[in-house]
Amino acid sequence: MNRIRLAAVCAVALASVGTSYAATFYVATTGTDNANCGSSSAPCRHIQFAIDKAQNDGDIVRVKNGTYAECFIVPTPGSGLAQVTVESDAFATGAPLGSAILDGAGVCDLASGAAGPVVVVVDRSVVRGFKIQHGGDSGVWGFGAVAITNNTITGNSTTTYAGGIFAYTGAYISAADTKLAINDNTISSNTSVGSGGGLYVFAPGVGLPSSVEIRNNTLTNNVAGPDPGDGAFGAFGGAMTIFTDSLTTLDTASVVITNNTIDGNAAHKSVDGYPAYGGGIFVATGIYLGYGTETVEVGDFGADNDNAIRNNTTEGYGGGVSVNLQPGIGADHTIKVVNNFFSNNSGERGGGGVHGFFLTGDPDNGGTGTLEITDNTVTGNHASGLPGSGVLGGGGIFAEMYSRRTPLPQVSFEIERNKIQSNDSKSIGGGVSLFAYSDDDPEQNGVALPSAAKIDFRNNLVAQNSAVNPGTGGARGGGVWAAGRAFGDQAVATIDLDFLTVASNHTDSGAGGIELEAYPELDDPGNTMGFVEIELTNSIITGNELIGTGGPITPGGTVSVDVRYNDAFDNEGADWEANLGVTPGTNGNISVDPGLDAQFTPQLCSATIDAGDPAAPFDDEPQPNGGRVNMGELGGTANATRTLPDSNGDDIVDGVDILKLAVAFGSSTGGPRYDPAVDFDGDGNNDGSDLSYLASMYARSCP
Amino acid sequence: MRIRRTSQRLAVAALIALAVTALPSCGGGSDGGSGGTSTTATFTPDNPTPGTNTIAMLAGGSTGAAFNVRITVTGVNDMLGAAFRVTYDPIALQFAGMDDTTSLLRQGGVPNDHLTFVENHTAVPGEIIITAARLDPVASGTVDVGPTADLLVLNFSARRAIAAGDAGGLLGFNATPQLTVCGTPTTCAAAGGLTWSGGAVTAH
Repeated sequence: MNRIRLAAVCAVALASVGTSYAATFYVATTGTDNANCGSSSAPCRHIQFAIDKAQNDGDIVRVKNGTYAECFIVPTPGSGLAQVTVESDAFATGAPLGSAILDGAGVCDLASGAAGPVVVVVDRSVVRGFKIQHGGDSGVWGFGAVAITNNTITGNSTTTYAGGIFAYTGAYISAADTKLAINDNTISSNTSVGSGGGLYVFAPGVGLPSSVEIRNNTLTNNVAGPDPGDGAFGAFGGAMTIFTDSLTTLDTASVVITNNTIDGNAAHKSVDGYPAYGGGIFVATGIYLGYGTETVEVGDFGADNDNAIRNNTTEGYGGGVSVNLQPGIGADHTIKVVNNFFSNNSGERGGGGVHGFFLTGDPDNGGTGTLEITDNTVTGNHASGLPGSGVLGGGGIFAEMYSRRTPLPQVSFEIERNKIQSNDSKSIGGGVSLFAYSDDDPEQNGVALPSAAKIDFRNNLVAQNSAVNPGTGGARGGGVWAAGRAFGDQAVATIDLDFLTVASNHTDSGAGGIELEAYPELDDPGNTMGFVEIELTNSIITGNELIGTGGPITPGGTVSVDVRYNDAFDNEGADWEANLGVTPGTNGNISVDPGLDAQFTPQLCSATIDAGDPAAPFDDEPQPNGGRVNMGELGGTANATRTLPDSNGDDIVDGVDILKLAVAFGSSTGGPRYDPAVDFDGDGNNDGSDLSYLASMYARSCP
Repeated sequence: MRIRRTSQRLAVAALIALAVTALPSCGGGSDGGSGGTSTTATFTPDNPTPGTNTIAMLAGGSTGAAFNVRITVTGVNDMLGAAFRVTYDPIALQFAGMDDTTSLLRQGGVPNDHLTFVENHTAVPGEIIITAARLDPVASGTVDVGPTADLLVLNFSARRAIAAGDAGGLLGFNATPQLTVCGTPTTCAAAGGLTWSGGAVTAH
């Protein structure tokens, strides 16, 4: 039996060897193109010549160091091949990269009169280990599930879009479970007149799933725009432009962008003055059809998944990143911007670090859309537009949502758990600008339907930001500027501000902490007024310049302002602007020193501990959590400041608490000795973990 | 619980200390407070022969300025543990550590993971916040303490010369010390009717 099985295995193995044999063809600048070239000892001279010799998928063309003045396509069109690898010999041998140079100068650069890419790679083929330069219409074009890896792609240009790399999936995806991979490249100093100075990816799902991975790349000093065309758009994506699309409801498109460094790129407005989007990265879904499932992730959880996005600029929106979500009919579209580091990016019109744009624009739209900007560090970014210029600011983040007859829960826009510090705006929203817009009859045809635009801004730290116009002043909303606008009585625009720490922000005027505005409007027939809802709960607003929370907003009519369970303390002028009608001591609002440390974290004895909304879920807070959420950015989370393990309420953790635990030690829920007062981790056991926590807090007290 | 006596003693000692301060020629030490090798410290307990239901400080060993104070228990049944604070003058005395190796709570070979001995002497200046207890009266059992036995030993040294009656030499128990007893494993409570007794140090 075993011999039979062994023979069968051998037969399969031999068959596999026979069908997967891969030839390697060599190319060197000292080689000669002839019928016998291609071996290591007798290399060909030209890469395309060697590519043309490939006979089987899996064949490799290996290129020795040297400069190759040619522009080629792999695999050879009409060859029937799908997977040919062109790699530098240095890559294959582990030698230093950069000396195998693919140079389009005089061949396919702009001056050649035949501007084109240096490399075209198709289907499942691979290009890796080269320096690719002087392409006249991008450095590399990739079509399908290609792999473009370990290259330096620099000094390429285009008069259209995609300066360094243009990549497209769609119908070029020839096999399931494949992906387009752009990994481990340095993409620098490329230029495009249109969008995508460094990289432009169009990833439509057409039949087979479209999957794109962009990982471990460094994109620096790429420039998109300005486009001189008559009426041309501004450029999208100084470093990188990503479009997804989907042809039918069954199609999927996904892009994952992780662990890249995006530094010093620029996106310019058009010559006609239309704004640019995304100095570093621009992402959009559903731009054309968007009928299927589309997902784009910029960053992800984990140390190796974050992107560093810094020093990028745009003459428009989103100095670091601009994301644009437009879910299509019946579709599920998601964009996540997660766990990235944004620093020193600039957006002229808004969103110095991040710009999020969410539009549900079709009255018959049955699709869902989710836009999440979470767990990012957004520091030292700039929104440079001046007051009165129509800009909406947002030095760190600018989020805008437009709902046109799309009800909740079809749409979700969440900005959570971000650290937004030391950003500035010359107009409004030094740290953040939030704008929700809802219209129940966007077609103005008298057919009104429920419409909801809601931005959830939760568990964020907003500190040390500035809304300051050094010239003439007039900037406002040092930490947060938030506004809602709604047309018609079936339209609701909601800003939900929950579990925030808004501290030490600066402003020229208005509120240094949170500036609120509401614009209920009549629908087009002029009959009914829209609703604007502002909720501010469980937050700490302290140490801000001028007023803590205020703005030209008066609750009443179709404007509701729900302010509960906040601690507003030591704001320069007043904690609350009078028109908000907030009285400390009512509705859970207090005015007590929140006891923040240098990182704006409430200390053990802060009055904000266990002072949030009693109805808010507290289970995620670590035990002991007092059975009630904390206020501030960490409230309700696993990082919340724990409650003092003072089991007898004498405001000190001492031996009496330990003795209580000693008595109960070893017992569990339901047991006669079980004592929930000393079950500090809430696991139903009085055990060593409780003792450990007690010991760690031993002798700590609250005054 | 009888702690009044110690409190009265502290009050008297404070008056004496004020008097000493007001009359510098009456003494207060001559070696500048270094607690040097020539200094000999001696602990004198308030109650050298403690009776039943007493937690008392008694003298341990001493070497030069260094001396030990035994925290002892006498005549307490069903003891699970104790929590208390020892007050001292941190200018006159330096607390050097706590030794639980001879603790009565270790009787019967109770494993270490069923014992807890904790002290903190930094949170409150002049106080050592101490807990010594068995964990889990069912698994570990309680201790019937008959004759005087050590709960803990505290290590001190004198920082300066301390004359008899010098308030800087006083060692006592702060308010609300607690000793927990368990009549049965599920009926534990703070023991009543205890006497907590301190003492005083001299250093020459």
